[in-house]
Amino acid sequence: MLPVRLAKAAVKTVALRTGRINEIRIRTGRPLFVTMGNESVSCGVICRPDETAYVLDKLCGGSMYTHGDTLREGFVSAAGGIRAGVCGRAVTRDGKIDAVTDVTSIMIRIPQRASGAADGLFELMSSRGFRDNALVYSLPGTGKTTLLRELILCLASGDAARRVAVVDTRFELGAGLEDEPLNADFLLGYPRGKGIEIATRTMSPQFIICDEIASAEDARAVEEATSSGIRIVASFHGDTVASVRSSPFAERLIDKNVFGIFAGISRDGDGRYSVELTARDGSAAP
Amino acid sequence: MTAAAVAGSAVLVMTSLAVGHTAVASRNARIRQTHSLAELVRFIRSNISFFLTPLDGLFAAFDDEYLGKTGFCEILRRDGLDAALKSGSLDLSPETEKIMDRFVSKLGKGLRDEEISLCDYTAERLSEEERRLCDELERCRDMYRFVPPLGALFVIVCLL
Repeated sequence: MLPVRLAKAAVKTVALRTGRINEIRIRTGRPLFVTMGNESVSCGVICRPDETAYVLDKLCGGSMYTHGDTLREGFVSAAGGIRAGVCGRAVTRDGKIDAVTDVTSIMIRIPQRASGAADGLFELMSSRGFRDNALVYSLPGTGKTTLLRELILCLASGDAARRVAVVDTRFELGAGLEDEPLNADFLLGYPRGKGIEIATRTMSPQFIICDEIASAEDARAVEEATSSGIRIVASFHGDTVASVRSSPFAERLIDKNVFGIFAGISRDGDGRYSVELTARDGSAAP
Repeated sequence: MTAAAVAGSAVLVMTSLAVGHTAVASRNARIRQTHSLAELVRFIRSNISFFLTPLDGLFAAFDDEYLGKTGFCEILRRDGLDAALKSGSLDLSPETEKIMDRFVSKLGKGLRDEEISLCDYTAERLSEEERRLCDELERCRDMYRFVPPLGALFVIVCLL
Protein backbone atom coordinates (compact mmCIF):
# COMPACT_ATOMS: atom_id res chain seq x y z
CA MET A 1 0.00 0.00 0.00
CA LEU A 2 2.90 2.37 0.75
CA PRO A 3 5.74 3.31 -1.59
CA VAL A 4 9.01 1.65 -0.61
CA ARG A 5 10.59 4.79 0.86
CA LEU A 6 7.64 5.52 3.15
CA ALA A 7 7.20 1.87 4.07
CA LYS A 8 10.83 1.61 5.17
CA ALA A 9 10.52 4.77 7.27
CA ALA A 10 7.35 3.48 8.93
CA VAL A 11 8.85 0.07 9.67
CA LYS A 12 11.96 1.71 11.14
CA THR A 13 9.85 3.95 13.38
CA VAL A 14 7.63 1.09 14.57
CA ALA A 15 10.62 -1.12 15.30
CA LEU A 16 11.83 1.36 17.91
CA ARG A 17 8.56 1.20 19.82
CA THR A 18 6.20 -1.38 21.27
CA GLY A 19 2.60 -1.58 20.19
CA ARG A 20 0.57 -1.80 17.01
CA ILE A 21 0.02 0.80 14.34
CA ASN A 22 -3.56 2.02 14.33
CA GLU A 23 -3.24 4.72 11.70
CA ILE A 24 -0.82 5.93 9.03
CA ARG A 25 -1.04 9.54 7.90
CA ILE A 26 0.35 10.62 4.53
CA ARG A 27 0.37 14.33 3.83
CA THR A 28 2.00 15.83 0.73
CA GLY A 29 4.90 18.04 1.69
CA ARG A 30 4.67 17.06 5.36
CA PRO A 31 6.16 14.29 7.49
CA LEU A 32 4.76 10.79 7.48
CA PHE A 33 3.08 10.04 10.82
CA VAL A 34 1.98 6.76 12.42
CA THR A 35 -0.40 6.47 15.36
CA MET A 36 0.39 3.80 17.91
CA GLY A 37 -2.06 3.56 20.80
CA ASN A 38 -2.75 7.18 21.66
CA GLU A 39 0.56 8.49 20.36
CA SER A 40 1.29 10.07 16.97
CA VAL A 41 4.89 9.55 15.92
CA SER A 42 6.72 11.21 13.04
CA CYS A 43 8.65 8.84 10.77
CA GLY A 44 11.07 11.56 9.73
CA VAL A 45 10.41 11.54 5.97
CA ILE A 46 8.51 14.11 3.96
CA CYS A 47 5.82 12.69 1.67
CA ARG A 48 6.15 13.58 -2.01
CA PRO A 49 3.17 14.30 -4.29
CA ASP A 50 3.86 11.19 -6.40
CA GLU A 51 3.89 9.08 -3.22
CA THR A 52 0.50 10.42 -2.14
CA ALA A 53 -0.84 9.69 -5.63
CA TYR A 54 0.65 6.19 -5.44
CA VAL A 55 -1.06 5.45 -2.12
CA LEU A 56 -4.41 6.73 -3.41
CA ASP A 57 -4.08 4.63 -6.55
CA LYS A 58 -3.34 1.53 -4.47
CA LEU A 59 -6.24 2.20 -2.11
CA CYS A 60 -8.56 2.55 -5.10
CA GLY A 61 -7.22 -0.67 -6.61
CA GLY A 62 -6.17 1.20 -9.71
CA SER A 63 -9.81 2.11 -10.39
CA MET A 64 -10.48 5.45 -8.76
CA TYR A 65 -13.82 5.83 -10.55
CA THR A 66 -15.27 2.96 -8.49
CA HIS A 67 -14.75 5.09 -5.38
CA GLY A 68 -16.29 8.33 -6.64
CA ASP A 69 -19.19 8.28 -4.16
CA THR A 70 -17.03 7.51 -1.16
CA LEU A 71 -14.37 10.03 -2.18
CA ARG A 72 -17.05 12.70 -2.13
CA GLU A 73 -17.81 11.58 1.44
CA GLY A 74 -14.13 11.84 2.30
CA PHE A 75 -13.05 8.22 2.48
CA VAL A 76 -11.99 5.18 0.48
CA SER A 77 -12.63 1.60 1.52
CA ALA A 78 -9.93 -0.74 0.33
CA ALA A 79 -9.58 -4.50 0.41
CA GLY A 80 -9.11 -6.10 3.80
CA GLY A 81 -11.38 -3.66 5.59
CA ILE A 82 -8.87 -0.84 5.35
CA ARG A 83 -10.61 2.49 5.47
CA ALA A 84 -8.73 5.63 4.54
CA GLY A 85 -9.86 9.17 5.13
CA VAL A 86 -9.03 11.33 2.12
CA CYS A 87 -9.06 15.05 1.67
CA GLY A 88 -7.81 17.51 -0.89
CA ARG A 89 -9.50 20.14 -3.02
CA ALA A 90 -13.27 19.92 -3.27
CA VAL A 91 -15.04 20.75 -6.50
CA THR A 92 -18.45 22.00 -5.51
CA ARG A 93 -21.69 22.61 -7.36
CA ASP A 94 -24.70 24.27 -5.74
CA GLY A 95 -23.05 23.94 -2.37
CA LYS A 96 -22.51 20.18 -2.68
CA ILE A 97 -19.24 18.39 -3.26
CA ASP A 98 -19.16 17.15 -6.84
CA ALA A 99 -15.67 15.70 -6.79
CA VAL A 100 -12.45 15.72 -4.80
CA THR A 101 -9.25 16.44 -6.64
CA ASP A 102 -5.60 17.18 -5.77
CA VAL A 103 -5.67 14.81 -2.80
CA THR A 104 -3.03 15.90 -0.32
CA SER A 105 -3.94 14.01 2.87
CA ILE A 106 -4.65 10.34 3.41
CA MET A 107 -5.28 8.76 6.79
CA ILE A 108 -5.17 4.97 6.62
CA ARG A 109 -6.91 3.22 9.47
CA ILE A 110 -5.63 -0.30 10.05
CA PRO A 111 -8.48 -2.67 10.96
CA GLN A 112 -8.00 -4.63 14.13
CA ARG A 113 -9.41 -8.04 14.96
CA ALA A 114 -10.08 -8.44 18.64
CA SER A 115 -11.22 -11.98 19.17
CA GLY A 116 -13.56 -12.16 22.14
CA ALA A 117 -14.30 -8.42 22.15
CA ALA A 118 -18.03 -9.04 21.78
CA ASP A 119 -18.29 -12.03 24.13
CA GLY A 120 -19.64 -9.97 27.03
CA LEU A 121 -22.26 -8.28 24.89
CA PHE A 122 -23.27 -11.57 23.28
CA GLU A 123 -23.61 -13.27 26.67
CA LEU A 124 -25.77 -10.44 27.98
CA MET A 125 -27.98 -10.57 24.88
CA SER A 126 -28.22 -14.34 25.20
CA SER A 127 -29.09 -14.20 28.91
CA ARG A 128 -31.98 -11.92 28.03
CA GLY A 129 -33.22 -14.27 25.32
CA PHE A 130 -32.08 -12.03 22.46
CA ARG A 131 -35.15 -9.86 23.04
CA ASP A 132 -33.24 -6.58 23.13
CA ASN A 133 -31.90 -4.15 20.62
CA ALA A 134 -28.39 -3.05 21.51
CA LEU A 135 -26.74 0.34 21.23
CA VAL A 136 -22.95 0.43 21.03
CA TYR A 137 -21.35 3.79 21.68
CA SER A 138 -17.88 5.27 21.95
CA LEU A 139 -15.74 8.11 20.70
CA PRO A 140 -14.47 7.82 17.11
CA GLY A 141 -11.65 5.36 16.62
CA THR A 142 -12.30 3.52 19.87
CA GLY A 143 -13.47 0.16 18.56
CA LYS A 144 -17.19 0.21 17.76
CA THR A 145 -16.67 -1.34 14.34
CA THR A 146 -14.29 -3.95 15.76
CA LEU A 147 -16.83 -4.95 18.40
CA LEU A 148 -19.67 -5.13 15.88
CA ARG A 149 -17.55 -7.29 13.62
CA GLU A 150 -16.90 -9.75 16.43
CA LEU A 151 -20.60 -9.71 17.35
CA ILE A 152 -21.46 -10.73 13.77
CA LEU A 153 -19.24 -13.76 14.26
CA CYS A 154 -20.90 -14.60 17.57
CA LEU A 155 -24.44 -14.27 16.25
CA ALA A 156 -24.12 -15.78 12.78
CA SER A 157 -21.86 -18.76 13.31
CA GLY A 158 -21.98 -22.03 15.15
CA ASP A 159 -24.76 -24.54 15.66
CA ALA A 160 -27.30 -21.93 16.74
CA ALA A 161 -26.36 -19.42 14.05
CA ARG A 162 -28.92 -16.69 13.70
CA ARG A 163 -29.93 -14.96 10.48
CA VAL A 164 -28.01 -11.72 10.43
CA ALA A 165 -28.18 -8.89 7.90
CA VAL A 166 -25.23 -6.50 7.97
CA VAL A 167 -25.74 -3.04 6.50
CA ASP A 168 -22.08 -2.37 5.67
CA THR A 169 -22.23 1.16 4.26
CA ARG A 170 -18.48 1.72 4.48
CA PHE A 171 -17.31 -1.82 3.67
CA GLU A 172 -15.81 -2.19 7.15
CA LEU A 173 -18.03 -4.52 9.10
CA GLY A 174 -17.45 -7.46 6.79
CA ALA A 175 -13.69 -6.96 6.52
CA GLY A 176 -11.87 -10.17 7.33
CA LEU A 177 -15.10 -12.19 7.49
CA GLU A 178 -15.20 -13.12 3.80
CA ASP A 179 -14.14 -16.70 4.42
CA GLU A 180 -16.12 -17.28 7.59
CA PRO A 181 -19.07 -19.73 7.34
CA LEU A 182 -21.64 -17.20 8.49
CA ASN A 183 -25.40 -17.19 8.32
CA ALA A 184 -25.19 -13.54 7.30
CA ASP A 185 -26.08 -11.29 4.38
CA PHE A 186 -23.92 -8.27 3.70
CA LEU A 187 -25.44 -5.17 2.10
CA LEU A 188 -22.24 -3.53 0.91
CA GLY A 189 -22.22 0.18 0.25
CA TYR A 190 -25.96 0.59 0.82
CA PRO A 191 -26.97 3.90 2.43
CA ARG A 192 -27.73 2.99 6.01
CA GLY A 193 -31.44 3.83 6.19
CA LYS A 194 -32.19 2.26 2.80
CA GLY A 195 -30.10 -0.77 3.61
CA ILE A 196 -32.00 -1.39 6.84
CA GLU A 197 -35.28 -1.00 4.97
CA ILE A 198 -34.23 -3.44 2.22
CA ALA A 199 -32.84 -5.96 4.70
CA THR A 200 -36.08 -5.81 6.68
CA ARG A 201 -38.29 -6.33 3.65
CA THR A 202 -36.30 -8.83 1.63
CA MET A 203 -33.78 -10.81 3.71
CA SER A 204 -35.94 -11.94 6.65
CA PRO A 205 -33.20 -11.40 9.21
CA GLN A 206 -33.42 -12.03 12.93
CA PHE A 207 -30.76 -9.39 13.54
CA ILE A 208 -29.65 -6.32 11.64
CA ILE A 209 -26.25 -4.90 12.45
CA CYS A 210 -25.17 -1.47 11.26
CA ASP A 211 -22.58 1.11 12.12
CA GLU A 212 -22.74 4.83 12.86
CA ILE A 213 -26.39 5.80 12.91
CA ALA A 214 -26.09 9.47 12.05
CA SER A 215 -29.30 10.79 10.56
CA ALA A 216 -33.02 10.98 11.11
CA GLU A 217 -33.56 8.67 8.13
CA ASP A 218 -31.27 6.05 9.68
CA ALA A 219 -33.11 6.36 13.00
CA ARG A 220 -36.49 6.03 11.30
CA ALA A 221 -35.37 2.87 9.53
CA VAL A 222 -34.16 1.45 12.87
CA GLU A 223 -37.53 2.16 14.43
CA GLU A 224 -39.44 0.54 11.59
CA ALA A 225 -37.23 -2.54 11.60
CA THR A 226 -37.64 -3.04 15.35
CA SER A 227 -41.41 -2.74 15.01
CA SER A 228 -41.17 -5.71 12.62
CA GLY A 229 -39.71 -7.84 15.37
CA ILE A 230 -36.15 -7.67 14.09
CA ARG A 231 -33.41 -7.03 16.63
CA ILE A 232 -31.08 -4.21 15.78
CA VAL A 233 -27.52 -3.68 16.97
CA ALA A 234 -26.38 -0.21 16.00
CA SER A 235 -23.54 2.11 16.94
CA PHE A 236 -23.50 5.80 17.74
CA HIS A 237 -20.75 8.30 18.38
CA GLY A 238 -20.49 9.46 21.97
CA ASP A 239 -18.53 8.66 25.11
CA THR A 240 -21.62 8.37 27.30
CA VAL A 241 -25.29 7.61 26.72
CA ALA A 242 -25.99 11.21 27.67
CA SER A 243 -23.74 12.48 24.90
CA VAL A 244 -25.32 10.04 22.43
CA ARG A 245 -28.74 11.29 23.53
CA SER A 246 -27.68 14.85 22.70
CA SER A 247 -28.39 14.17 19.02
CA PRO A 248 -32.14 14.54 18.41
CA PHE A 249 -32.67 11.30 16.45
CA ALA A 250 -30.72 9.22 18.98
CA GLU A 251 -32.68 10.89 21.79
CA ARG A 252 -35.94 9.85 20.15
CA LEU A 253 -34.84 6.23 19.88
CA ILE A 254 -33.56 6.11 23.45
CA ASP A 255 -36.63 7.83 24.88
CA LYS A 256 -38.89 5.38 23.07
CA ASN A 257 -36.97 2.59 24.81
CA VAL A 258 -35.95 1.05 21.49
CA PHE A 259 -32.67 -0.15 23.02
CA GLY A 260 -32.55 -2.56 25.93
CA ILE A 261 -28.77 -2.99 26.12
CA PHE A 262 -26.11 -0.31 26.06
CA ALA A 263 -22.44 -1.12 25.41
CA GLY A 264 -19.98 1.72 25.96
CA ILE A 265 -16.40 1.25 24.74
CA SER A 266 -13.57 3.25 26.22
CA ARG A 267 -9.81 3.22 26.06
CA ASP A 268 -7.46 3.96 28.92
CA GLY A 269 -4.17 5.83 28.77
CA ASP A 270 -2.27 2.64 27.97
CA GLY A 271 -4.51 1.97 24.98
CA ARG A 272 -6.43 -0.89 26.60
CA TYR A 273 -10.10 -1.22 25.70
CA SER A 274 -12.96 -1.90 28.06
CA VAL A 275 -16.66 -2.44 27.38
CA GLU A 276 -19.22 -1.26 29.92
CA LEU A 277 -22.50 -3.13 29.56
CA THR A 278 -25.81 -1.87 30.88
CA ALA A 279 -29.26 -3.41 30.50
CA ARG A 280 -32.53 -1.58 30.81
CA ASP A 281 -34.85 -3.58 33.03
CA GLY A 282 -38.20 -2.04 32.44
CA SER A 283 -36.98 1.32 33.71
CA ALA A 284 -35.75 4.51 32.11
CA ALA A 285 -32.62 4.28 30.01
CA PRO A 286 -29.40 4.92 31.90
CA MET B 1 17.15 -22.17 -70.13
CA THR B 2 18.36 -24.82 -67.77
CA ALA B 3 16.14 -26.59 -65.29
CA ALA B 4 18.06 -24.92 -62.46
CA ALA B 5 17.40 -21.50 -63.93
CA VAL B 6 13.70 -22.29 -64.26
CA ALA B 7 13.57 -23.59 -60.70
CA GLY B 8 15.47 -20.59 -59.41
CA SER B 9 13.20 -18.20 -61.26
CA ALA B 10 10.17 -19.94 -59.89
CA VAL B 11 11.54 -19.68 -56.35
CA LEU B 12 12.31 -16.01 -56.87
CA VAL B 13 8.82 -15.24 -58.17
CA MET B 14 7.14 -17.27 -55.41
CA THR B 15 9.25 -15.53 -52.78
CA SER B 16 8.39 -12.12 -54.15
CA LEU B 17 4.69 -13.01 -54.19
CA ALA B 18 5.00 -14.16 -50.59
CA VAL B 19 6.73 -10.91 -49.62
CA GLY B 20 3.94 -8.91 -51.18
CA HIS B 21 1.28 -11.06 -49.59
CA THR B 22 2.94 -10.81 -46.18
CA ALA B 23 3.16 -7.03 -46.45
CA VAL B 24 -0.58 -6.84 -47.20
CA ALA B 25 -1.41 -9.33 -44.45
CA SER B 26 0.68 -7.38 -41.96
CA ARG B 27 -1.15 -4.17 -42.78
CA ASN B 28 -4.49 -5.97 -42.55
CA ALA B 29 -3.47 -7.32 -39.14
CA ARG B 30 -2.66 -3.82 -37.91
CA ILE B 31 -6.06 -2.60 -39.07
CA ARG B 32 -7.79 -5.54 -37.39
CA GLN B 33 -5.86 -5.03 -34.14
CA THR B 34 -6.59 -1.33 -34.05
CA HIS B 35 -10.26 -2.12 -34.59
CA SER B 36 -10.23 -4.69 -31.76
CA LEU B 37 -8.49 -2.27 -29.41
CA ALA B 38 -11.17 0.31 -30.18
CA GLU B 39 -13.75 -2.36 -29.26
CA LEU B 40 -11.88 -2.98 -26.00
CA VAL B 41 -11.96 0.73 -25.19
CA ARG B 42 -15.71 0.88 -25.91
CA PHE B 43 -16.21 -2.19 -23.72
CA ILE B 44 -14.33 -0.49 -20.90
CA ARG B 45 -16.35 2.65 -21.41
CA SER B 46 -19.75 0.98 -21.22
CA ASN B 47 -18.83 -1.05 -18.15
CA ILE B 48 -17.52 1.99 -16.32
CA SER B 49 -20.52 4.03 -17.40
CA PHE B 50 -23.16 1.52 -16.28
CA PHE B 51 -21.55 -0.61 -13.59
CA LEU B 52 -18.37 1.13 -12.39
CA THR B 53 -16.67 -2.26 -12.75
CA PRO B 54 -13.08 -2.21 -11.44
CA LEU B 55 -10.40 -2.60 -14.09
CA ASP B 56 -9.35 -6.12 -13.14
CA GLY B 57 -12.96 -7.20 -13.44
CA LEU B 58 -13.24 -5.51 -16.84
CA PHE B 59 -10.13 -7.19 -18.15
CA ALA B 60 -11.29 -10.58 -16.88
CA ALA B 61 -14.61 -10.20 -18.67
CA PHE B 62 -13.29 -8.95 -22.02
CA ASP B 63 -13.17 -11.46 -24.86
CA ASP B 64 -12.31 -10.92 -28.50
CA GLU B 65 -11.75 -13.81 -30.87
CA TYR B 66 -9.05 -12.10 -32.86
CA LEU B 67 -7.10 -10.71 -29.91
CA GLY B 68 -7.57 -13.98 -28.10
CA LYS B 69 -5.72 -15.83 -30.86
CA THR B 70 -2.70 -13.55 -30.40
CA GLY B 71 -2.54 -14.30 -26.66
CA PHE B 72 -3.36 -10.68 -25.82
CA CYS B 73 -6.51 -11.50 -23.86
CA GLU B 74 -4.77 -14.00 -21.63
CA ILE B 75 -2.07 -11.52 -20.67
CA LEU B 76 -4.72 -8.82 -20.24
CA ARG B 77 -6.60 -10.94 -17.70
CA ARG B 78 -3.46 -11.97 -15.87
CA ASP B 79 -1.30 -8.86 -15.87
CA GLY B 80 -3.40 -5.92 -17.03
CA LEU B 81 -3.55 -3.73 -20.10
CA ASP B 82 -0.08 -2.20 -19.89
CA ALA B 83 1.58 -5.61 -19.75
CA ALA B 84 -0.61 -6.95 -22.56
CA LEU B 85 0.32 -4.06 -24.87
CA LYS B 86 4.02 -4.41 -24.09
CA SER B 87 4.03 -8.20 -24.46
CA GLY B 88 4.71 -8.09 -28.19
CA SER B 89 1.63 -10.16 -28.99
CA LEU B 90 0.37 -7.36 -31.23
CA ASP B 91 2.00 -5.57 -34.16
CA LEU B 92 0.64 -2.04 -33.82
CA SER B 93 1.27 1.03 -35.90
CA PRO B 94 3.37 3.70 -34.11
CA GLU B 95 0.32 5.96 -33.88
CA THR B 96 -1.83 3.20 -32.33
CA GLU B 97 0.92 2.52 -29.82
CA LYS B 98 1.04 6.18 -28.89
CA ILE B 99 -2.74 6.37 -28.47
CA MET B 100 -2.80 3.27 -26.27
CA ASP B 101 0.19 4.41 -24.17
CA ARG B 102 -1.65 7.61 -23.36
CA PHE B 103 -4.83 5.69 -22.60
CA VAL B 104 -3.10 3.26 -20.26
CA SER B 105 -1.29 6.05 -18.40
CA LYS B 106 -4.60 7.75 -17.57
CA LEU B 107 -6.97 4.78 -17.20
CA GLY B 108 -8.26 4.30 -13.68
CA LYS B 109 -6.82 7.56 -12.39
CA GLY B 110 -9.99 9.64 -12.63
CA LEU B 111 -13.63 9.62 -11.63
CA ARG B 112 -16.44 8.22 -13.75
CA ASP B 113 -17.02 11.17 -16.06
CA GLU B 114 -13.30 11.62 -16.67
CA GLU B 115 -12.90 7.93 -17.52
CA ILE B 116 -15.84 8.05 -19.92
CA SER B 117 -14.37 11.11 -21.66
CA LEU B 118 -10.99 9.38 -21.87
CA CYS B 119 -12.57 6.28 -23.42
CA ASP B 120 -14.61 8.32 -25.90
CA TYR B 121 -11.53 10.29 -26.97
CA THR B 122 -9.37 7.17 -27.29
CA ALA B 123 -12.00 5.20 -29.23
CA GLU B 124 -12.39 8.11 -31.64
CA ARG B 125 -8.61 8.39 -32.16
CA LEU B 126 -8.33 4.63 -32.74
CA SER B 127 -11.17 4.74 -35.27
CA GLU B 128 -9.40 7.57 -37.09
CA GLU B 129 -6.18 5.59 -37.11
CA GLU B 130 -8.04 2.52 -38.41
CA ARG B 131 -9.48 4.60 -41.28
CA ARG B 132 -6.05 6.02 -42.04
CA LEU B 133 -4.50 2.55 -42.16
CA CYS B 134 -7.31 1.32 -44.43
CA ASP B 135 -6.79 4.24 -46.81
CA GLU B 136 -3.06 3.67 -46.81
CA LEU B 137 -3.50 -0.02 -47.57
CA GLU B 138 -5.90 0.73 -50.42
CA ARG B 139 -3.42 3.12 -51.95
CA CYS B 140 -0.53 0.70 -51.60
CA ARG B 141 -2.26 -2.65 -52.11
CA ASP B 142 -1.45 -2.85 -55.81
CA MET B 143 2.10 -1.81 -55.11
CA TYR B 144 2.57 -4.59 -52.53
CA ARG B 145 1.04 -7.14 -54.85
CA PHE B 146 2.76 -6.30 -58.10
CA VAL B 147 6.08 -4.58 -57.35
CA PRO B 148 7.81 -7.56 -55.68
CA PRO B 149 6.97 -10.05 -58.49
CA LEU B 150 7.82 -7.45 -61.13
CA GLY B 151 11.10 -6.90 -59.36
CA ALA B 152 11.74 -10.62 -59.36
CA LEU B 153 10.95 -10.86 -63.08
CA PHE B 154 13.28 -7.97 -63.76
CA VAL B 155 16.08 -9.75 -61.90
CA ILE B 156 15.36 -12.95 -63.79
CA VAL B 157 15.44 -11.14 -67.15
CA CYS B 158 18.69 -9.42 -66.22
CA LEU B 159 20.29 -12.69 -65.17
CA LEU B 160 19.12 -14.42 -68.28
